[in-house]
Amino acid sequence: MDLRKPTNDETFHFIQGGGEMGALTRSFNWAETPLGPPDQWEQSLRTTLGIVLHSAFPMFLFWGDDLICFYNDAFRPSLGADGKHPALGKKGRDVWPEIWDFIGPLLQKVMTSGEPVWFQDQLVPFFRNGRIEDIYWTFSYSPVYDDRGRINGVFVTCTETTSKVLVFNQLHDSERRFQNLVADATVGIIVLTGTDMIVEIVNDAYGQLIGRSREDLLGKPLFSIIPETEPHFRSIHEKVRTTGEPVFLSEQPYFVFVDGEKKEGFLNLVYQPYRGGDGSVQGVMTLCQDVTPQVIAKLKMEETVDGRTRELATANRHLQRSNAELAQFAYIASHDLQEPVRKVATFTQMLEADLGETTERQRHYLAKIKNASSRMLLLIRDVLAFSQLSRDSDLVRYTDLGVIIENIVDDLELLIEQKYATVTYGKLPVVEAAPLQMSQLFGNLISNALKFTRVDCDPEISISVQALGQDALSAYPMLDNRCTYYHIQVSDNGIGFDQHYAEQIFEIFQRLHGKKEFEGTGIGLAMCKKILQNHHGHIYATSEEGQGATFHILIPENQSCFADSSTL
Amino acid sequence: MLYQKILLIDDDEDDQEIFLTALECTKKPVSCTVLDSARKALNQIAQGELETDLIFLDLNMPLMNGQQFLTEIKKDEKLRQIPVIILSTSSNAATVSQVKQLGARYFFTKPGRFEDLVAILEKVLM
Repeated sequence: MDLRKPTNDETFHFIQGGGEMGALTRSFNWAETPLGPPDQWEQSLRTTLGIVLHSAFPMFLFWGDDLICFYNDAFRPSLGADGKHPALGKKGRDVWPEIWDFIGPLLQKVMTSGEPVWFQDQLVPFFRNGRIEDIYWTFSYSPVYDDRGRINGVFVTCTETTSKVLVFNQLHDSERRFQNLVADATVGIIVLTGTDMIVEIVNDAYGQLIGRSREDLLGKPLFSIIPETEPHFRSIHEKVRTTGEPVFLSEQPYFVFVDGEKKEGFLNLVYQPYRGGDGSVQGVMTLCQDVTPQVIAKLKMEETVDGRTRELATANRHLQRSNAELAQFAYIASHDLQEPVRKVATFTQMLEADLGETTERQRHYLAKIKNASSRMLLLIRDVLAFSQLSRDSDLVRYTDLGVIIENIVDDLELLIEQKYATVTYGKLPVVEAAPLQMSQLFGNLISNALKFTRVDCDPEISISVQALGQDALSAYPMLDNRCTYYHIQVSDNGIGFDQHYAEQIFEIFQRLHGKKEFEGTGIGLAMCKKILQNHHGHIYATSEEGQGATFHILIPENQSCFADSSTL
Repeated sequence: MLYQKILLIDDDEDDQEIFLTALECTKKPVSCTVLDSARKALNQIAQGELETDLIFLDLNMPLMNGQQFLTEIKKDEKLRQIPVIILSTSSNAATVSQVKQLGARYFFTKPGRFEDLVAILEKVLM
């Protein structure tokens, strides 16, 4: 059958053309329908059907008591494949059973009242494409009058808006998700637009920060609601809006008045340009995180640390004062004590000399007094010297140890002569040290060597020095391998000592011999140890009983590499 | 015999007595003047009332201490030639260093043993 060319031009002169539906309408066997053959159709039906079939807009026509269906090519795609098409000539109720509950009453209403109805984006799901589909329509139903002036049909213009509605729904969903995101966010979010800074978007979290509800804020200029924040925050907004550059602020203090009461805290803030569809900056989006508890905790902690530091500084000052007082006490006590003791000793000796003939008992008592007083004098002098080691009176400077030793040998000349001793030393280094303490160090060591001598040979004391190499340095973990050290050895050929006591001899008041054998207080070597500690060095001794002793001094060339931990 | 007229400046009477006794023990033929004030000594020497060729000087004295006396006497071209020996209770190394810089010839801590003082004087007056 040729659908393009009407077969019955005589019958269908009112519908020429009309595309596929025109052809179908012409070829349809209308004689078997309640409408009867087309040549008997009323003029109004013919006219309306002509409009329908010739329209490029989707149209549908229900006609007669059975609401027989007509539609055009434009409507045809809405019926899909495997669906109702061709519905031409069928009764409305038979074509649209799944939606008859909805459209049946509507058609009835139009036919009885003569009032048109109009729906926009109305969901009307029906069967097409092999299943019931959700289809959205914008449509109108209008009454059609027959030749006798009675409403005998309903003219439907309609357009399917499913894709438009679906896109709209997606947009709406997306918008809702965005709204939820903003609304549910735990950080405060606010979007201000325009130079008036109108609140366009705001969430509850932001409202809570400033003690206002969203409704209080939306659509209003922000600074009309919280003017107290304007002096500080307006310029930031303006800067972001004009430059388009974000601004980040941490732990920013802020305050607002809520019902006359000041509410204050600290915020971390991010200001970002808020751009419109064309990419231009239309406003500023601000994210605010309340960090008040953290900042307060931090401030408290800093306050605590400050407090502790002050307490520590105070304690330190007290300690320093107490140390200084103690040293001062030791100095004064020992200084003033030695005066009367010295006199007791001296006058006892003078008394003894003056007595001439004495009994053995008298001599015994005099000896006791002399021994006790001279021993006390020694003790006091050594305590005095030891107490002065920690005083800061002696500054560190480059000190020629050769000169120091020369002076000591000079001072000890009498004793050296008496003992028939020899002291030999080569070239000694210049080191950064406290000269007086160096004198005390070598003075003590040489005096010891002159004291602990053997009766069977003349004392020989030798002093030698060598630079301490890196390999040798690694054997002394107490030294700092970044510094240059000298290893100075003071050796004698005296009585020596058992190596077992090598450490003990450096402890204060430790003695290896009876007071009768050798004079001494047990302070000299303790002083030597303290002096080396003061100079970041080390001292130790090696010996064998009866074989002489060697005192090893490890002293850094410079004190400057210990600048951070000076104890001098 | 190097020295004949010596001067002891010490405010402590006990120490004056000990010094003179020790000097006696050396049997050296020297005359000794004892003054208990550095200021008095400085005045007398400066005005030529007192002649001396060796001074034994204590340090810790009222009004003018040994260091001040030493400083003053070293200012005078003629008087600075007189050797000064410090005889002090102190054995403080800082003090020793200080007075040596001020020009003291020797420094002795007042010894605890009488014989040591005699030995010192014998050596110095040799």
